[in-house]
Amino acid sequence: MKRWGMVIDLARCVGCYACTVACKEENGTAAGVWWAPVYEKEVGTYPTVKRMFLPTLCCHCKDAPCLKACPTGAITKREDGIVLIDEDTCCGTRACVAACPYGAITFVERAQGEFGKELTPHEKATMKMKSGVAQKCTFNVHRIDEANYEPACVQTCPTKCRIFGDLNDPESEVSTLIRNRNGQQPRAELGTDPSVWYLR
Amino acid sequence: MHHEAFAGSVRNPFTSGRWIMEPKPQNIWGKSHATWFTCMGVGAALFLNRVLFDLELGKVLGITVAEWLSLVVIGVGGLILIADLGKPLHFWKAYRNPLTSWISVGFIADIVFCVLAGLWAIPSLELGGVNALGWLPWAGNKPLGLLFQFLAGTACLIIIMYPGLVLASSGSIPLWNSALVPLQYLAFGFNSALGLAYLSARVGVGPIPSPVWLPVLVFLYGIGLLFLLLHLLESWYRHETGRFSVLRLIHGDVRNQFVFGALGLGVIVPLALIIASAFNSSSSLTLLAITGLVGVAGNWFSKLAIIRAGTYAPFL
Amino acid sequence: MAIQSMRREEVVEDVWLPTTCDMCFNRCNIRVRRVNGVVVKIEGLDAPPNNGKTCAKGNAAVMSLYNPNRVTTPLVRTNPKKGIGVDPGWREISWEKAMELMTEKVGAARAKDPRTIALATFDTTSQQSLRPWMAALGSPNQTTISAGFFCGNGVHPIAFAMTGAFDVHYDIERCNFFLMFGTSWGFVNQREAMGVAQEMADARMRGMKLVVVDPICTNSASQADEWIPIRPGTDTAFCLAMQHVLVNELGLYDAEFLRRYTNAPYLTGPDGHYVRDPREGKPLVWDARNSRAAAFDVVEPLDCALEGTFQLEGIQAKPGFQLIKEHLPKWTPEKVADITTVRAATIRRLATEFGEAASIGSKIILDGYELPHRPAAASWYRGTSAHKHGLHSCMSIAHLNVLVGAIDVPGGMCHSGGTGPTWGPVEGPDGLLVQGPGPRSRKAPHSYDFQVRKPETLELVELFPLAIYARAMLWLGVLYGEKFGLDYKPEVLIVCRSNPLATSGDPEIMGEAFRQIPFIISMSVFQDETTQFADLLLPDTHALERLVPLVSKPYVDGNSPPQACQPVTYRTQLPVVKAQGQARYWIEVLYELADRLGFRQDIYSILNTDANLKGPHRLDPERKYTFEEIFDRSAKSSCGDEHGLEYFKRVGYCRGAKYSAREAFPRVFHKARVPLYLEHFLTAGEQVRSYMDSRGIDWDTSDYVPLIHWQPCPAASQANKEYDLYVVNQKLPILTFSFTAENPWLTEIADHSGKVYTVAMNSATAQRKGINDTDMIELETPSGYRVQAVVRLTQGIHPECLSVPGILGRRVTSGAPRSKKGVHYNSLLRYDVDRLDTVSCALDACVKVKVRKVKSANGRRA
Repeated sequence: MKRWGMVIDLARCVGCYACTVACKEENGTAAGVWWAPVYEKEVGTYPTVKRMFLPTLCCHCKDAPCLKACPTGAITKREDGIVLIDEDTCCGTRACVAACPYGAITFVERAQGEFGKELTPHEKATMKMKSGVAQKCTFNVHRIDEANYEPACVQTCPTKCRIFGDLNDPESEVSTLIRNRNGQQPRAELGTDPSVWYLR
Repeated sequence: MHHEAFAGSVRNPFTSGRWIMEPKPQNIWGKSHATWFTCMGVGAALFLNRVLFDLELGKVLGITVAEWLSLVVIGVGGLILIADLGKPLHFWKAYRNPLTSWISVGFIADIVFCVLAGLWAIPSLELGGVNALGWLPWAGNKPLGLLFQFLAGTACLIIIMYPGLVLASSGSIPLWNSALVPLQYLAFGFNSALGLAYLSARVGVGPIPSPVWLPVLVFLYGIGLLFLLLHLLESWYRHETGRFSVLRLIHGDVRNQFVFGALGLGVIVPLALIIASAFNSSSSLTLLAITGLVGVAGNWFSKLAIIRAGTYAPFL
Repeated sequence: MAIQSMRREEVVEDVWLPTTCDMCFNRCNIRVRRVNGVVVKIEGLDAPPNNGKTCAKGNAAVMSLYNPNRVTTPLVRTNPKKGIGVDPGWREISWEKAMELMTEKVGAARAKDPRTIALATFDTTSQQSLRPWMAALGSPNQTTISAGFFCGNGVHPIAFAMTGAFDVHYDIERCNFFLMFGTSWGFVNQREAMGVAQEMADARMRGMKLVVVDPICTNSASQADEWIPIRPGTDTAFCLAMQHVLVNELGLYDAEFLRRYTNAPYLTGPDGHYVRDPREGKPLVWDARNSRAAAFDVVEPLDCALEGTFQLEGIQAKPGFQLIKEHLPKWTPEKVADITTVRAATIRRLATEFGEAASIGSKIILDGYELPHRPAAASWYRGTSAHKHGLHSCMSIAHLNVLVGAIDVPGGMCHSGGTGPTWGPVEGPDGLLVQGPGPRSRKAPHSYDFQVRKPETLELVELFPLAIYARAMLWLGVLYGEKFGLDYKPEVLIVCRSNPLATSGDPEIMGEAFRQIPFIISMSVFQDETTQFADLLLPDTHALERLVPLVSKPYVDGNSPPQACQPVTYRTQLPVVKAQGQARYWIEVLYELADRLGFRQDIYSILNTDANLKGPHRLDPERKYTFEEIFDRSAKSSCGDEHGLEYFKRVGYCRGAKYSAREAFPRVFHKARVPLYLEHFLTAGEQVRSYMDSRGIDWDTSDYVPLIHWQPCPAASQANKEYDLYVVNQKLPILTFSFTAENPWLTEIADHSGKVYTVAMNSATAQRKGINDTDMIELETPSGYRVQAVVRLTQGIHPECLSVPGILGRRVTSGAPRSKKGVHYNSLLRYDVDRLDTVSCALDACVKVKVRKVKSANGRRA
């Protein structure tokens, strides 16, 4: 059985936010909602300074704390490892947000468009988010299922710093990179076993 | 500075502010949760004190004030929580994940308590001095009644602690991720409930609690303080973000709620009032009644402060 | 209904349509998914230049397309008063009325003097279609905007001189040491953004050392192996010191290259000019083998002396290189350390690394050719161009490449489309490299055969013999042209897809210039500072709504050089959705105007040549063609009969022949020489001085010297020490030009980044001044301009600098959320003749301010 995962090479990321916007466009998230933000971290003191760019998304953890915390069982995990929130079952406790170490989940109290009440044609076509529920990255499961097509964030990255593939296949690009470049899981000590690995 | 347009309509502790990898204060739970947690704790402790120690706090219409209060307070707390949900009308689904979700466990316990404690109280009802339903098979200490008390009481124990366990189960927030959180909930639940017995006595509803309870009250406030201080120490030394949270509590944006509210109203003032009452026998009941009131307020602040000061650790 | 949950029966249409992106000037190939007539997704097409990738801006284009506040009908002004923030009193009119008005005004101006019609645009995709229109109209006054104020000024003249192309490109695929000055090329900025982002990442991962010299720790500096903070405006001194180390301390320079391919061996006399053969006038060199002076083209290059002093019939002659050697010790690392704030040891070390990495003498085999391999290059762009002495700054960097022979060879600084299958650089006057004849995107107007004369153009480019344009002079020309001998004033200005009032000089001065122009036509998608000055405002189409009628040629397309050993690609912009409201593509409007004014036929004639339309595809001037028909002919002419409009509508791009290594790296295949000794600067300066003296104008010609020198910017010489901090601008990967301010996805990210709408200050500097993170501060320029902003503290900026990025702080927009946020950098600058680099006509972007705290982060007043 496949286990979908992603490797993010921090040595290649240049902080351009292409992934952040591609995600928004693909998923039609409401105004203020970002499933694939890129954080910055400044390290060092002048003049030996480095600004790190840290692309993030839902880690689709094997032992997902959000799934465990959710009281209504709205969060489930597929056999291929993708963790999904069912908005119709969600009642909006935000227990998942409290549980997630990766800032992956957003609670949308009131979904709105970028220009206020009037939605643009794109928003009307893509924005399916209901209000009062939690939502997060889905690894673009619809692209995977419909066309075996990688997530939008991976497809758009200009420096190819995001690689998507099967973590259960030792010869896949993701597995090879993790092995050869000493990939690390974020906050590995928490035991969530994230499916997103970082290379430094 | 930014993001005012979406503040309140979209909540994510990391993306709501500056996109910098740094400790991020949680922004999903606040006063509603502090109120819910406090109500749960106080209500449940009142019921336990009633069934275990006969602390009835008086009677109204045949039913003890302790039972009235516990049902009302837990009910109100529940309603406040439901109103806070993103989709309040879907609250009833919250029972579905008891194997891993403390909220589910608590929800089930809440239902069990409300049903069983409510049922158990009904036979005691006296209308116009007449006890019409005392024949019900679970009334008072009949075997079924004892079973109801046992189950409702167990539910209460869960109810006092589960909110703390909800917080403690979050590995992402070092301040919350501690056994000392549910322990504080236990201590403050009971010291609030016991304090209310003196308030009830002072307003002439209930009897003055036996002198044996005063040292217990002191103990309960003392242990609340101890758990609180241990919690600060543990957070400080265990994780950098824990330290960040502690600084927020004693020095930063949560200072007033923590220092004056939780520490002050929650333990210092009550203890001071109790000591004062020992030297002032004429006003001692008044002072102890005020202790009860202030203690509940402090309990609320202690929960609010910890909830607010909860900060996510940077994850990269 | 979200497409992902749409039922099959509801989906009437679900297609992917190819076109090119227009969110910057790189024109990446994209495909757009349209479902039931609505654009739902944009992705890159897997073809050069972007190889399947799109940046944040490209991905966000849909929010620009569907901005609800677009200009959708023609509007005419009713309020005669013009100013920023002054309501024009727009009244809707029909397109017919608008065309009539335009025909009347443009026709009248054209009849009087076509030069009185100026057109400003930075729509690079439409340039090819626009040029014939301007030529047929008869006006030389076509201008870009801010790109011509700050950016290419220090690049294009040098690119032409060194490679014969409009722009340069660096072969980082084969480079091991890459030095960047004031630019973020390869980090989703600037040219070839998508293609180079991957190349740069690959090169860095392969082990190429990247060093970025910049006052700010930009995106490129953050990922570099070393960030070298430098005081603004001192890069020249830095590079001269590097040159000194290479030439005088290490002797690490490519002597063979200098002898063969530069004017370094040309003999110079006491007046600084070449010593010429009295009969044929050719510059002489010293033939060391035969101990005699002879014309440069008869002596075996390796026999030319680079050093020495020679007596030639009574005059003392020295090779240009000898003068350079003698000049450089004025600029040792020790002497420039205080100027630049970079330690001498660092400069010396970098020079050594650069020189050694260049591996002078090494070779590489590519595509069957044996070529010199110089895997070290130094690059620059806007950061060093936008200074009073910017051309010198940029030239000093280019000369690093020249010294080690890294010009037009693998690993080095190469031409960008300057060499193709049938054209390339040739030997011009004095054997110096000039652009050869052939299809090209831009003709270098001056090369070496310039003649300063009475200006014909509004931008007075004739007074800037070494620049390729004088955009920054244009508005000053409108205001003061008479003084310089310009004998006409502009009557009509057409502004298309450009916002000069926000992107160039001080908006107040620009506004004054605009008010001098009797009739302004603006064609725009959004309301902005410039449309506010228009008399007629016409709704332009979004790029996703238009067909650009000519296929763009990869060879001459300055923004995406063909990649060595890869096939070239032809592409264009195709409409994906119908135009919104009454929007019309501005080129279509201009062509209709030409029709009404009777010069459509001339356009077609010019197009036939310009666009190389062949045989049956040539346009018959007597007929009228739709843009579809013109494109079809253009595409078939360039790409073959099977690749017309229908093909492009399906596929979006066409692959052509492979771009050979010889075409990519032409250096050893021709003999044209590049200037190391800038003798032509002397000539130019003499001409400029002569003209200016004749008109009694005080004009700074101090940079028209043959040897590069560093002079401080006026801001640096600011006497009042209260103004102690330089404000530096930088580009961002998520915003570009001014129109992205209307895109809420991009501006929201900008807001969250915390570093776009704020002013960045060095943490230590802030501490000294008692300023804390997120305090509100006020900047004040020496001219008294004041602006307030939130400050952000960082370790990643030079202690003497503040950073204000992008084009922000807008005053007039179409009202998108956050569209006015931020600080308007350009308002800080003095826009004045004495702030122009008189060589390249760049506007000095060096300004010093004083800072005071207005309010603390917690709200307390300071």
